[in-house]
Amino acid sequence: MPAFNLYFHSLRIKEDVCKGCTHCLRNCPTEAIRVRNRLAQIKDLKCIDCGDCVRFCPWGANEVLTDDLSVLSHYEYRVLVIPPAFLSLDFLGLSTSEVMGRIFALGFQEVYEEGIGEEAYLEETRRILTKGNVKKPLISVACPAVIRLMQVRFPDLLSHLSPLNTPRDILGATVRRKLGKNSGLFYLAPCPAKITAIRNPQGIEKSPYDGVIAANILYREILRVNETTSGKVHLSGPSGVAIGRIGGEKEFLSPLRVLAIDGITNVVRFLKELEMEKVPALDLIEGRSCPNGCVGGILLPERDSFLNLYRLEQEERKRENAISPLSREDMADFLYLTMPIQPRPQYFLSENMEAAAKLLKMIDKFYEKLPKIDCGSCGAPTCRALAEDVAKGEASLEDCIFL
Amino acid sequence: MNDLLYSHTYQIQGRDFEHGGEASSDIKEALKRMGINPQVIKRTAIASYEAEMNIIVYTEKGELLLEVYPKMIRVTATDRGPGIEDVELAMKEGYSTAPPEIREMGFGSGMGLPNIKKNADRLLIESHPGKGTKVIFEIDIPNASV
Repeated sequence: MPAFNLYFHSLRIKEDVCKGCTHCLRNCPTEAIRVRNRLAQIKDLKCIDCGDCVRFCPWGANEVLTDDLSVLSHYEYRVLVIPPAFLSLDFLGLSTSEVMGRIFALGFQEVYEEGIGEEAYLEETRRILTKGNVKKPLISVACPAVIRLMQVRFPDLLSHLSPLNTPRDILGATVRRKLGKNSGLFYLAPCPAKITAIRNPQGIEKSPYDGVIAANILYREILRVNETTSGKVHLSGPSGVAIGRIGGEKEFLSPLRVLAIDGITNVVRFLKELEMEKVPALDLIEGRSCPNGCVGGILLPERDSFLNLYRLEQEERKRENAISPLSREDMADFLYLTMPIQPRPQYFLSENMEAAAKLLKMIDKFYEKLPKIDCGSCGAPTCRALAEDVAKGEASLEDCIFL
Repeated sequence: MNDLLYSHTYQIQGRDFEHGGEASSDIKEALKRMGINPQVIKRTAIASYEAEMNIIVYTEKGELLLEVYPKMIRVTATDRGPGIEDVELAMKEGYSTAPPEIREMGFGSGMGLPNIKKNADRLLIESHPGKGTKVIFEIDIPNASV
């Protein structure tokens, strides 16, 4: 795997496809995009890989860095962890066991469902919320885009983040420990945020995964390969399946007071309220970047998250009496994050308060001259963002078409 | 040491509940970007919000002036509203002169000024009935920078 920088993120702009319009610009929750010379650019330090730019791009001009199946050849034994949202897809009539058989035919020997980690995660979450001395409301760490959103825009709320490891990594680390040297552990990602979470993990020293594959790539291969072989399948119980949709934590942590919010802009709005302490007493915030939760992930081939949600709920019902193959005790060593999650440094205008105040005064001065209509024609998402770019010497006031 | 690092005036339109809270939200954002202690920011933002809502609920218009010094933040809320008849009484939790239609919207519960007092290190209220009110509060910054 190539070396990654500290702020690696997986979203990229396809320069030959980008038309320089402003759809992504207006919808980015962290104002990470600028359009310069008719081309969208992503500010690496601000991007949280939520994927809303992909969702809103009419031209398909964004791409996501991912491994393809050729990485499997580096390992003798290959294990795949799939998110529950993957089984919510319509495989054109293939049954779950046929889908698994085809995954094995493509080169894997074992498949685990991420929900197995979720079951231990939920059990431990309930325990610390009931007994532990934690800062309520806790904010769930299951969605990596929400964690990154907090690092970029809400650094003072990071103390609310759950101390637990993610379901993905709880399971991953447990499976990794059982595997030999020549075995590869892979994660199937429903969204770019989870790709980034594996390539540049937060809160743990090293990801247990050797590679990460986009869900739409495997989906295409499953439909193409017309054969099946056998392998080992480990599926979770119903609460593990529910991680794939919004409301799963809320439902399975009842009667704890859990607020479930999907859609990254809705999460932003709520965190602003939480900052001002304008929210009722709650135990946990289940925030998910994508509409309807992971079933709305942009790397799933089916973009209609409501159909995925429907099929996931069917799957949950089928598992009603299923029991997870691993218990909380099996995963006990990996239940907690081992490192603090830090704010991104870009957030502060300067390390020094005096210098930051000076820059802020310049931003105010430029902002006063702008029309304050946030049209986006200058290539910055808002007049305020342009003023900041000008103050930092990254743009000019003449970029505004009204001046 | 008392050099003014930053100041900004935020105009507030009375009865504009739609945009209520925007000024204090902008104040919070500015302080966050300066890297000021999160606890100080939270207290300033909450007190500013109460001052802002008082202007919106009771007056035609007013303004918040934010001043940032190396060791302290000062917010001055000025309006030309009806003024406060009895400041001491207004400081009591639950005392309110808000009409029922305002209370139905979830405001005017008599917690505004007490909440400012709770969050500020110093509070000064100058009010002239019929002329207007000035609420000044200060919050100390324990560490000058991040």
